[in-house]
Amino acid sequence: MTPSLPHDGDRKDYHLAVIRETAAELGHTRRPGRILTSFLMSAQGGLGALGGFAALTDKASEITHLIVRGDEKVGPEEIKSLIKTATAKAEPSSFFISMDGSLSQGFALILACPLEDDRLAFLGLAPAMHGRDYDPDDRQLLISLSSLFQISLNSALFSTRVELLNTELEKRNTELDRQVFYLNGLKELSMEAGESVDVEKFLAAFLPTLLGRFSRSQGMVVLHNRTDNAVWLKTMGIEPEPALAALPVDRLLFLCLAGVENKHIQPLQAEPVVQVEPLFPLVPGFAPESAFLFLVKDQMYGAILLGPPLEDHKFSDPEKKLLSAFVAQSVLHLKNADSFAAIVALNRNLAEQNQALRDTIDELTQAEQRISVLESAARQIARMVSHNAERIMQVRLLDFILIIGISLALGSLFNLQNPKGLSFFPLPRPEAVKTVTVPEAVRLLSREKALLIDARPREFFELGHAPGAINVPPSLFDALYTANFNAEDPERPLIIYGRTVSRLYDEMTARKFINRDHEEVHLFLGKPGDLSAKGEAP
Amino acid sequence: MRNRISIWIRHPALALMARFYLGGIFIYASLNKINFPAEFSDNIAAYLLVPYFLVDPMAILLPWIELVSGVCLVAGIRVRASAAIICTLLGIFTLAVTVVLVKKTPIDCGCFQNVGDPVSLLTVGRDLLWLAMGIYVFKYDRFIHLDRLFMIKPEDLNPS
Repeated sequence: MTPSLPHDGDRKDYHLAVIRETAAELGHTRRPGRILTSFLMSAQGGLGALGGFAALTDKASEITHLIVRGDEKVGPEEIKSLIKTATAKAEPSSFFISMDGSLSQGFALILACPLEDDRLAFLGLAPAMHGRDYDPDDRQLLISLSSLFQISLNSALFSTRVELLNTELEKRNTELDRQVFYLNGLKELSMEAGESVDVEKFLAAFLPTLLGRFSRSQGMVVLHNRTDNAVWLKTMGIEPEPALAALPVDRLLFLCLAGVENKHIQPLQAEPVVQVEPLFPLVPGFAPESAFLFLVKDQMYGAILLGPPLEDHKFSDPEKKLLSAFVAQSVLHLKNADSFAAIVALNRNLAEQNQALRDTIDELTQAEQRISVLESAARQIARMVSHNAERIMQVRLLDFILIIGISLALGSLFNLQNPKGLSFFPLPRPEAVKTVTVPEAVRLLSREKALLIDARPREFFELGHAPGAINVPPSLFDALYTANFNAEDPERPLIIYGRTVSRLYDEMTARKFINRDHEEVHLFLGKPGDLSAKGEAP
Repeated sequence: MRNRISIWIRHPALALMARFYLGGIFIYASLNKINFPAEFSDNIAAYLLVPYFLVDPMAILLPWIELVSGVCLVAGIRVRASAAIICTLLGIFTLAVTVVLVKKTPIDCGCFQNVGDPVSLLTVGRDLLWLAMGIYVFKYDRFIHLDRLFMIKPEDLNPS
């Protein structure tokens, strides 16, 4: 880029060569400072300027890059002042800015190139060597170079912005990766918690996950249910391992509560413990770096204590939020586990109640069956009773047989025992008693002076009797015999008559005469009228 | 009015009184006959209605049938059967007395005493009255039955 100008054609070739070289040079660089330097050198060399400067301003017209060459009389401060003035005079329609001699600080040409984002690039050239004035060709060359410069600088600025964006994106990616790492931890914790609904198992899975995800070597989780005074404790990396019996759980939770900012913790809420130093003496060999106090439900408190990070890593706010989310998630799982335990207990209780109910139903069913049987029996008994009642009211042959049978039995027994009892069967006729026919009777009455005796009762005798008959009924025999027959000859024949369909009075009286030693006792079996008809009379 | 009379006639208390009266009559009548069987035998024979070989067995057993039936009637044991037996006896007695009256046989009734109670139309009327009472008891009596006293009644088993 040596300034040699033999004639106009050569000069134009030279300018084109300068433009080409400048374009080639600008094509290899993306840094604004290099572009400014290259542009200044190309312009200075192409026009033969003694010196110059190139500057870049931002939106606020502050100079971000400044390159000064050749002119040692003008300092940066003067150039800044010049640029401020030039900025005020810059016009979009023209690169060149006309300035008065005092304001131009000795620069012959001053150009302002508008760039993207309201930036401006400035080029100032000192007078040409040998006192030559800049002609229109020089200005044209400078315009061409400015266009190149404008394009290159815009491209460089865009590249720079892209690089900055890339850097920012990488930074954010790193942050996102970390967050994804933590969120994966949360997801894994949720999955593990979903598989386990037992508090003990959940704590056993939770603490290693928490420590692993947040790069902690020591940690402890303690949970205290004041309702039934149950305590769960899980530790990792603490030497010696603290014993549950020796751990002052109440004091630990109290100190955690004292260390949180919000003392009114609600169920399912976790609060970070700001002051962890008071916790140091509680667990030997464990100085927690961070801690959380949480409330699972009323009367069920817990605390998570984490040791210092493995590396000297300072946790960012998102990480701290993730840790809080981790803890909050664990509290939720603990609540679920506790609820599940309560549901299991309720289910067990419900199953027992169901069993009791089933037993009761079985007993009721059996009782119902027994009642049915009893009711059936009662109905049968009622039917039997009704049947018997109806039968009692009915007249049965058996009743007659019973009454008459009892009467017969009693009558027979009484008659047997009665001295005045009767014989069931009629007595046989005595052998000494003979029967006589009508002729014999007549003969006995007429020839042998036989006595004719009517044996019937007096009432029948009085109604009618054989002539000459004496009434001697058996019932009055003894009295009549004493009165009338004591003096009678026992050998005198006696003819006795008087029998009815119901009573053999003649035989009865004859038997009594035999008993009185009468020898001739005859029974007349005919009718009394037969004797009167014959006209015989005693 | 007729309904009221009908209710009174059918009243079980009236039947109970008739039952006691009839039972008492038969118990009383049987006692004399049991005590003096020979005299009762003569009374039966006087009717001239029973064959001679049945008179004594009848004199032995008939009073006891009267006694047992009377006791059952008073005690309320097999009341309807007892009433039926008593009605049968009364029917026989009425028939016998009527026959005797028709034949004008001069005998005593022998119902309560062996002598001094001649058969008359009054006797027939009395026997007919007792027969009616017996039928009444048979039909309407249902109070104080000894054979039901200790038995579970259907109404006790089914209170509703």
